[in-house]
Amino acid sequence: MKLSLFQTTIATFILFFSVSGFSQEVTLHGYVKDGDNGEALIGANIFVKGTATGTVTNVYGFYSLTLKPDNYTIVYSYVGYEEKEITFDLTRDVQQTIELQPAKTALDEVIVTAEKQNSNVTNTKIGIDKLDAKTIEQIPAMMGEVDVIKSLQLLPGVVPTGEISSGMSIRGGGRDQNLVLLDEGTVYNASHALGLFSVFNNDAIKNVELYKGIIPSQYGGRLSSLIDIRMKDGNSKNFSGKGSIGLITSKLTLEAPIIKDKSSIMLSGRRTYLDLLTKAAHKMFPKEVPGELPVYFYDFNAKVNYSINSNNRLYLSGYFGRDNADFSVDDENIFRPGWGNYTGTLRWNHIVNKKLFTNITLITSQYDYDIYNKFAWEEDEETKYTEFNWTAQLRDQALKADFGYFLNPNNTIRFGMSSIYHEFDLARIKGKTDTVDFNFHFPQKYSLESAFYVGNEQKHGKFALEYGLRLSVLNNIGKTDEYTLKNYEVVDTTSYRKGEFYNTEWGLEPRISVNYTVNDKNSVKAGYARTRQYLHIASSSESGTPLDVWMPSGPNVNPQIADQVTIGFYKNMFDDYLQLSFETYYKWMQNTIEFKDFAQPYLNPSIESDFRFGRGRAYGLEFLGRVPRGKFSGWVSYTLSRSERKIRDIQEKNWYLSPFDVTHNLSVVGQFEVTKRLFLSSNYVLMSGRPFNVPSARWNYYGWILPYYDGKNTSRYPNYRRLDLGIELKNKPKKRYESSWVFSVYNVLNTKNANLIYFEQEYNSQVTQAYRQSLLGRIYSVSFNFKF
Amino acid sequence: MNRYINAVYVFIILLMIFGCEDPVKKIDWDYHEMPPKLIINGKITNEYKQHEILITQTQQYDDSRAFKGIEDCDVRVHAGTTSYEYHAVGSHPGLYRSAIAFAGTRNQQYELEIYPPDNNEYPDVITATETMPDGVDIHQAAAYITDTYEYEDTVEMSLMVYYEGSSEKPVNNYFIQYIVRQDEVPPALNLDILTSEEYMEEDSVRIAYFGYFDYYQAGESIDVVVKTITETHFRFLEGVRRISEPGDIFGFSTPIGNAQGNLNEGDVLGFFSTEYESTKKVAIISYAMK
Repeated sequence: MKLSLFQTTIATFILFFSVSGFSQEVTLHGYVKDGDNGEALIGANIFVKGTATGTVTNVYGFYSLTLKPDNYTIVYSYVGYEEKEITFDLTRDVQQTIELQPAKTALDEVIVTAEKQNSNVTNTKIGIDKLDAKTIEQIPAMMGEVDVIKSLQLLPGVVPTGEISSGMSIRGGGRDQNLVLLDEGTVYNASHALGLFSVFNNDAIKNVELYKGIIPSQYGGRLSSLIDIRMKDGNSKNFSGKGSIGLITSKLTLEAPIIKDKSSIMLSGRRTYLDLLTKAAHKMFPKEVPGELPVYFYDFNAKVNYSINSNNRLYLSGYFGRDNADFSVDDENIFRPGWGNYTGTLRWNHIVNKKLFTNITLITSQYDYDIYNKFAWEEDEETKYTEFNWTAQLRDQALKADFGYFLNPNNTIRFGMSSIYHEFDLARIKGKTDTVDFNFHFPQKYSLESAFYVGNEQKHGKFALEYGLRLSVLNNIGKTDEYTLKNYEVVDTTSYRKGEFYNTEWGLEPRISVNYTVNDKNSVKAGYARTRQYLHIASSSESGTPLDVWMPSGPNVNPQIADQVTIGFYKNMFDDYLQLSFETYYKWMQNTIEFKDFAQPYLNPSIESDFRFGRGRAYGLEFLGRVPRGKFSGWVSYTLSRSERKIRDIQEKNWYLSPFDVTHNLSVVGQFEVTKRLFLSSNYVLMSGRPFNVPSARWNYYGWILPYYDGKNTSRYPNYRRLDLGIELKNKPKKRYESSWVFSVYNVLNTKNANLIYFEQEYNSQVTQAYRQSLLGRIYSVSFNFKF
Repeated sequence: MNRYINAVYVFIILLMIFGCEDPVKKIDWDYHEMPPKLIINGKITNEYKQHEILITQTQQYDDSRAFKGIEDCDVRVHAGTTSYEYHAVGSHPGLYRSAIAFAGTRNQQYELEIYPPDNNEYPDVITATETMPDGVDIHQAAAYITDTYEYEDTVEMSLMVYYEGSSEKPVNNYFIQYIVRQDEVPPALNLDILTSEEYMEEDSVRIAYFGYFDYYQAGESIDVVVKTITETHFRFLEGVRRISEPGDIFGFSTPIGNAQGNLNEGDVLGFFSTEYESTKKVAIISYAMK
């Protein structure tokens, strides 16, 4: 019944907008690309000169503009590129692919958003931030390793969930409430080196969009945000490369045409060598460097695309990354943990007709970890041992079909569906001792997460609207065992056959945003979105660990639901050199998950019996002031916010602070082009400490001295502050070869920010002592970058 | 060339060393204060004796002084129609002892009633009710040294303790088990083995095994102790054991909480318990001697 309602809605949409469409019309459509390397340009502007009529390219660089038959001068523009004007005698449909040349002036090289300069004012997007690879590259980075996620953490409404974490809390949400997509493949754990770096190699990245407000109806599955990361397509014109040699990592990216202007390939790899360096340092300076750090990671990105003809194009892209550590003492005493992600995406772009663009995508992705542990001992002159291998994984297979119908310049309808098959292998421990074998296996879980959506971007005078509806469904599928809980205690277990659909959760997710453009420098926007989340991290860690276990909603775990209202005011000044935005939001959350007191989050087969459910609310005010280009560029971001929870059946009956509540969050990012070969950059971060649990009192029970907690999250970490500086010295270019040295200092002031605060009672005196663990002091780095 | 590479290598390593500092530092922490809460440590056992109840109050988390005993309380325990008065022990502020000796009996309900001195911070009355479990009596027990380990300069042995006991009917399966070595003063609360495992068979016989690692001698005499406790008390003791200092590098610690007692629905800290204790003295034998 719901499906027929959905179909009716789509038919009504198309009928309504067909009636309001032009009676006689012609269409100009095609792609907009970078003239140097053939990369599709996302969000390029195409408009009729002297009018407001126009459109923008989609994420594949496709555009379609329907007009009355006439002569038109069409302007193609993209910030950082030379504008192109072409006159068309549009008496019939025209397919035209345009290549824009990058601007050669230094001024245009430093850009924050690769969009029309006032698009922040005129578009309907609310609660969205965009970063491109160039911007990310210029932010001073820890150990010289520029990082997508660490850069996003400098934007309003985004806070890291720990000093070294790649996890993020966005607008007060949990770290599992962010959908991170790399070329549409879900990345379930975006951390390398326990969160020190993210899994995204900036050299392989073309574009990053963060939706923290009104997520388009095309996307769903997480409450708080969408982080949409697109890989480079690969240079279809020339062989080119880019790389860097840094203190702890080196990386190399190569791009080349396979068939010029028709097919190209991009390969990118990165590896750390901290393990090798610390080994050498320990050997050379055993006192100063008391131990080795036998941890390393590597990752690999690849993408191939092939243009079959002007209407069909295929993309195949993939990511593979892994962290490994080896804390073995000898061959008999081994501890080797490892974890990693992979994603694979096959996409088919097809232009059905001049107005209808389709993208069919097949996706696979996986996150897994494994721990191999062996320990041996001597007993009765014999060597005895125990060894085990602990593994867990989450694997997705997905099919998506997205359609963009460019009805007329005022309406672009998007509809489609997606279906993701999730396989959860929560834990499997297989091992043996010298006498027995053992095998411990949690029940596997399977689920099918599907969605159907329809939406429209509509312009009407000074108003622009984007509205849509998403129907999301989760089916739990056998073969598995499900516990029956009564008062959170397991009272029964039900086994389901392989392929048996035994539980369904579903819901509608309306999304709408409205833009009232006062003039081309000022606008007011408002929006509402409902989001539903069917997958949850079952971990008590706020910062994130490699052992994070995801699990689906089911008979015992309801989907999380959020409703968010956002209002914003946008103002551009000084010929768009200064862009200001003020946004305020209020978010209500249902079925927020919290662990009960004394829960057992790890290796607990009935972990859902330790969950408790309740409500959450988050609200705040965000300010962003950006200078997107010029000799001096950068931004100032400030967030004032509150995030709270109220959970039934745990000790705290009232609203209490969420562990992700950060009251004040200020970031200042500045980049200054001193000369054409000398760049200075800096960023400063100041934010309130996050809430945590500190005992309010001590008490005794027959000699045991115990802490007493007078509520949850009643204390805060000290404020976090950090200043980073960077200098880039460009060497004199030689033909196509360019190189530079980048020197950076992370945490210049050597502020001892707390990664962890904990308390210990000395065994004999029972005196309580507080300890602060600060992992990252002042860190110097140097890297050599090159490209050709 | 090699010299150049080595120089770069040393430079990098020096940079790393320069950035290395001890990541953990002692800090001063400003603990927020809360009004004191009363704490009750009280139990009735099946041993014939004058039973005791200790009444103290919470103090700031970093206050390492002895807990302040609460004097001038009116304390009594009711068992059906019988009431036991408790009197303050003068030498130990906050400690109250029953006026007469008595032994807790199986399946008897005991009601604690305490009237603290007039004070705005204390409740007017503190109450709790517990029923003495139908506890296990140990019939026979044995302790065997099963293995010997040499680790660095120490020798450790694994001691396997076995006991068999029964109760009138298997209504209760919550136990504290431990051993007490000769000349050892047992701690007031020993939670080495807190178990809810059910070994009670239809004929009401309970058989249990548990182990220890330490240095033992064959022939050494030990007491095998089994305390049968109520489910509420068991849950409370689980909480006591799990309360840990919060946080580790990844937040792996158990989510925090307070051990939920049975006094004024948890508003007063501590627990009023009824425990059925059974003890058997055995001599340790080595595996070879078995």
